[in-house]
Amino acid sequence: MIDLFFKIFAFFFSFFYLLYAIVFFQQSKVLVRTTKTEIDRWVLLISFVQVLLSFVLIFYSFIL
Amino acid sequence: MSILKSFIIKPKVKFEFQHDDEEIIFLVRAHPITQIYWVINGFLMGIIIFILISVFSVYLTSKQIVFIFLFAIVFIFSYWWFSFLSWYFNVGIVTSQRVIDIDFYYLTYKEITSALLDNIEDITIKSGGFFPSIFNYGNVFVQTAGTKVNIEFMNCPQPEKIKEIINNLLQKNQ
Repeated sequence: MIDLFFKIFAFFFSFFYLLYAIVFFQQSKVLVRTTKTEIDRWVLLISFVQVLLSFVLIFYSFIL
Repeated sequence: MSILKSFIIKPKVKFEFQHDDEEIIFLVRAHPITQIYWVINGFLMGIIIFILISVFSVYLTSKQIVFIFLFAIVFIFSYWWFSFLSWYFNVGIVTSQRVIDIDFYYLTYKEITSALLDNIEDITIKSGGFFPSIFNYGNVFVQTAGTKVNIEFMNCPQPEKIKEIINNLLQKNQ
């Protein structure tokens, strides 16, 4: 029973993190558009890595 | 580490709605020492999560421990990245034509305030306290004529130099 609860919570936390990561990635685009700096590519890349990480978490929550 | 610079003269930066003939004189953001709290917070969160995992590890399977560990790393990394971007993109820019303050609140609300050099009436700097004295940072308030908006550069390094540069620009403009 505890395992099932853990799995459900893990999935929901990962899913909410995915939503956050997507919004964050979109906002990163706004940031680099507002002020163009030397690290723009890194900003977008690292923000996109967050989206990928959230998929890893969702995947892992399934195999728990 | 140029990425951590908070006071850059003639930066290789462009901003939205910059005019073609507008030259950036300097860019300023909060002194890095004022951001140390979120670095420490991240480490503290890591320690707390590590202690909680150690305490409750007897009730959890190895896969669940790995998940919590992964989630904690991702969470702390996100917190650091969010805080870094909040610092990095909240900037004050002084150009050959105007003073601009670009603020992002929680990265989702954008506020851009600008004032033409001709409209600037007074520049005030406020600096005091233990850390500001040691690391030489403070607040710069740029007041504009009448009911027009005022611009604030908070916790910026070398406030006297910033005031001096803006004053020189104002004298050149007169």
